[in-house]
Amino acid sequence: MRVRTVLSVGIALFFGLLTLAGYFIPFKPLANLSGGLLYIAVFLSSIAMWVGAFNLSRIHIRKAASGKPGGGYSLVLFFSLWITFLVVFFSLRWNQDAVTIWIVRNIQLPLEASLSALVVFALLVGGVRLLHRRRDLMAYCFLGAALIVLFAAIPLPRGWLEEWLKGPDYYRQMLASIFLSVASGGGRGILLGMALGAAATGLRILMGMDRPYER
Amino acid sequence: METYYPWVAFFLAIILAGLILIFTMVMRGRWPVLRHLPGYDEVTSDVGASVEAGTRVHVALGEGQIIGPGADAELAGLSALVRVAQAASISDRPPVVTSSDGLTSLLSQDVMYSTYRQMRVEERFDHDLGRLAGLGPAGYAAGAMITPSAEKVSATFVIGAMGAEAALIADTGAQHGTVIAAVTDPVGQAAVFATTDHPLVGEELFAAGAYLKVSHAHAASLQAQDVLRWIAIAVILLGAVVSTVLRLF
Repeated sequence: MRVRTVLSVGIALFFGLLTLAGYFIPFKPLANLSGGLLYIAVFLSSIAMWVGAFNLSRIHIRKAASGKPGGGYSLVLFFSLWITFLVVFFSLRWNQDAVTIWIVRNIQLPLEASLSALVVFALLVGGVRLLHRRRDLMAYCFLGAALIVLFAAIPLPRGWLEEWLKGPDYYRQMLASIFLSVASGGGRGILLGMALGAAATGLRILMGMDRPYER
Repeated sequence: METYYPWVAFFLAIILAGLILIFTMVMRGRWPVLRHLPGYDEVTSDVGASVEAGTRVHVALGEGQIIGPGADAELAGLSALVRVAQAASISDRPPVVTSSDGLTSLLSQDVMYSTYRQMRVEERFDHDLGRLAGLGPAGYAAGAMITPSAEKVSATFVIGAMGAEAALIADTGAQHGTVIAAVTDPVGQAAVFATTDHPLVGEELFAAGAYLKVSHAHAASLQAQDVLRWIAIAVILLGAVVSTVLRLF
């Protein structure tokens, strides 16, 4: 093992275990130290975000300069990123929140809403194509469940609803409990597996078995 | 009761760590037989096909943050990146990795650089290939969904913390080649189930390292998770039986 590897692993393990100990051991100085370490980490991550933003700007400037198709969009991205940054920076400095609110309400929110509409369209197309791509039991179950949820969301004519509500409680409750049990049972099973997976991933880092920080 | 939760978590972590160590030592030189998961089977062949075609692989690490929500999924994605970068190291076009977090993008550059250095092809590495695609879920989705067309991508691996926006990335990825997706968010899982050929659901995301044969530690941790899962199932069943009996009598 090279000295640099040993050093980087040692630092990662020491500070990782120290932060973890701050959560488990009820000793105030340790909890304070753990909080301080997290504060430094958050500060460093904000610097990393800056590095990422500069890197993104450089990529798009290069793309625009190369004359490749879509270079115009890269210029739009570059200028909108930095103009927004400057406008928000100075408006916050001069306590003019109205400018920031205007940008969020009139530019960011409509753009994000448009993207959300695209998600709905992509999901709809994906759902329609699902049985063309995969004709297995799980695909049929998925589509069946999606259709039940969609039908449940349809507002029924008043007469039907009243008739259903006046019907025997036993069947209604049985149906609801079957669906709820299956759905919540499946959801909890997935969550349990994911929690174990997340814990194992974290432990591998703390045990030095996984070293994404190593160069 | 709630005051005991940290201690329960602590002891579970100790047991899990112990099991990972035991399985790592027991399995030296051997690889366990794993359940068939078509998604992971396709990864190596998709990377090979992209190398032959002279195109890139896009690894979308999602919207998670290393210090914050989704760190576990980002780390699992970085583990998978090691194998993808190894397999693609013979290509003139290295993989492009997108994320929504500055630290994750720096870590993805580190992972790719160290993998390329191990393969002695570090001259092919370019820092711009581990990039911040955008900030926030919508910003990230917008940045990641244009990557396949901008970078001549023929295989997209969506692996990380992502919501319904994963459907957009998977959809644009599918227009340029194959897509394999494993995300953490329940809505995102439903979205990739509907839009991809080989979706990976739930904890299958965290099995990436074991299935892609990154290291024996990954296979050992998968086996340790299985042991704890069976213990959890036994405890749940026992609890259900005991509470039913107590109610009856």
